[in-house]
Amino acid sequence: MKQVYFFVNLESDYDFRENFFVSENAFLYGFLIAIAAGVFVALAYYFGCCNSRTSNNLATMTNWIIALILAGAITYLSADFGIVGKKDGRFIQSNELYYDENYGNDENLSQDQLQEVLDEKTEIENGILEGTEQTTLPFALGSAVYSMLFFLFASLGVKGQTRHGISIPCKWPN
Amino acid sequence: MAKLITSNNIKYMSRLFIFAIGGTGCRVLRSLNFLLASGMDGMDDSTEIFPIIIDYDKENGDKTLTLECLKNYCNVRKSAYHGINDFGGGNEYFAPHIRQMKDLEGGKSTFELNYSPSNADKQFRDNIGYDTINNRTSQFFLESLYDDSINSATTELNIDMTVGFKGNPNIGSVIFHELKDKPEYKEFLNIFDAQTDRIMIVGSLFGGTGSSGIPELIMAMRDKKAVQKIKEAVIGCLMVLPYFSLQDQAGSPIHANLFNSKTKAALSYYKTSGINTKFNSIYYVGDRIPSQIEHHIGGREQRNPANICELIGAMSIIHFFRNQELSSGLDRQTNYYKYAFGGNIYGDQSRELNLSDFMKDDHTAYMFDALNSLTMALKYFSDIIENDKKQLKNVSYYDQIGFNSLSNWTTPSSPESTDDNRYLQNTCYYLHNFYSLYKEWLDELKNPINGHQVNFYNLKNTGPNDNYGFHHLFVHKDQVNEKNAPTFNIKDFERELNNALQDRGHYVGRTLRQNVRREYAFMDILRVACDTILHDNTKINI
Repeated sequence: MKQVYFFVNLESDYDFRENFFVSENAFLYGFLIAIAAGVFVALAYYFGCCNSRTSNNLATMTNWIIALILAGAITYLSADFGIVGKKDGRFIQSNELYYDENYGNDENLSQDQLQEVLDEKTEIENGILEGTEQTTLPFALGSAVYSMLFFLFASLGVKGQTRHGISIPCKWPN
Repeated sequence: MAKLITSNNIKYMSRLFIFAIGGTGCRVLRSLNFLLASGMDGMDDSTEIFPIIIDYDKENGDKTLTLECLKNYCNVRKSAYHGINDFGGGNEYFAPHIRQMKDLEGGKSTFELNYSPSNADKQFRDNIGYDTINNRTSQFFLESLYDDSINSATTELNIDMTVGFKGNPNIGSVIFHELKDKPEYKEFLNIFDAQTDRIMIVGSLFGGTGSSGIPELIMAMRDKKAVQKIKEAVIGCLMVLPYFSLQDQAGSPIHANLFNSKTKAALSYYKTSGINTKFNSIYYVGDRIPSQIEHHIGGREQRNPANICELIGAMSIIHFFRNQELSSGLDRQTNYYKYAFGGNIYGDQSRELNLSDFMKDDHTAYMFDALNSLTMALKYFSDIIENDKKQLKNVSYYDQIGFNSLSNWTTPSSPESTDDNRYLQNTCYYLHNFYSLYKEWLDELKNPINGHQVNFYNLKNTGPNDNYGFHHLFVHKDQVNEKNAPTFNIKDFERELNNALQDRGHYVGRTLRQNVRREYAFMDILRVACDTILHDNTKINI
């Protein structure tokens, strides 16, 4: 999966989050969501809108584009909020360096030292969040693009089985 | 040998030879051409129609137009159904074959029976050898039979026959006596099969060509010396009574005021001489309110507008062809038919007729069901497929049939072309021509000079915002009432065409079925789609 999301790997903060994306299977989940959303929306479009005996009003190129965008949007939002943005779950509880619930709770520290450590913690947290944004965007966008690709592949695969969708989005493959 | 075919458990004859005599015969054929194209019940792909036009007027305008219509019909059929032997039980548009005898093995004859005067026989006196008769007594005898007034080119002996007999049946009967010796007639005798074929003779009784040709033809066929199979033949006749009148023109050999008298004389002669009894069926068609048409004695100028009588004549031919109760020519009993709206032959019918007048009659309703479907199909083809194709780019049937790869069909493909699209291109080209001829015919039917004007369809394309005019397509009673307007729109066409592509088995396994010809598939789905839409979305108030 690391290779599939190569564009995320290029980000400078990626090493810091490799554990999350690879070991915690975030890439895999993102990719599976892309497949599921792309294929599901395509099937829903073709067999819901393009295969009715009684109506072909929805079997249009415009609606196909809307369905394509919908597949991408579902994946984007799922990747952004459902995987990366799940702060109370896997990410917060992960075993990242310095990021532990017990961090800064050493009773032997003086008040100044404690404040210093807490400031450091805040600084690290802010850094993590900034870094998260840097990697989340390409991850979510990439998943959306994959989803749209899967929508397209699914379209080409099933369009020939429908009554009105044979030529949407294109004649090929015939 | 022609075959017997079975449809709906009724056996229909498969071939019909139509002898269309004179200008009226041609005009009836023209109407029949459009009815046949509609693919009505009982006139399927096993039906073969052989029109044989007999007209002494070589360049008659009506004949030229009729021939154009017939040839175009053949071209549509040839292009659309090239290589198709099995229509899958459907009554397709253009299903019946319109054929020439030359299409058969060893045949040579075309739609026309070559019956024009040679250059040396232009005048009647030349034809009968008047000037070569040395015996003055014989000449006196001929002069007593035929008008030969001096210095008049319009008298019977001096008549120029290059434009026919100009309403003189006494001349026609002399000329037509040679009919049975014509090679085309002999060819017809050769291929005729009394077991399966029928003969229809069509002509008017108020002119010269028809009224003289009808008795000569039937005498030749029922003569004791005639071949046995012709004696056994089931023969019908459409006798067209006066339905138009010519504006008077000084010096013309045609006198419209004599039409009724000549008709009465012919009817009386046919009855007393026993000619009527030689037919299995006789159909009479005429109009008590005659159309007033311009005076032309013949030639290219004779081009009368289409008339409801010709259409009823064409419907009579179909009635005769489908009638299964007729016995053989040997033990025949002549049936007489007259068409009347609502069964009231002297009824006070409005002079303006529409679909309602024909669709309430069971004898004609099925014909108009088919014609309605054809009209809708042609309008859709012209207004949408031909002239507003942009919106069809992503429509399944349009793409699968191959219209996307067909750049244009303003010309037919070259005969040497091996392009895959050539048959589809030709189908579209000839279909376009057919629609033009059809519209012209419909326009003529509602011509105000006709005794009865008939308006069946509004074919005006009013653009996409008005559903291209489909809501106003059918002209019938209470049409202005919104609830009677058709409710279908262009999307319905697309949907039903797509459905038909699959339901008729043309599209299987992600592609058009192997070996299915796209032009055939197109004609097939067009028929099925239009029939479905008509059935589901259209109410024609009768």
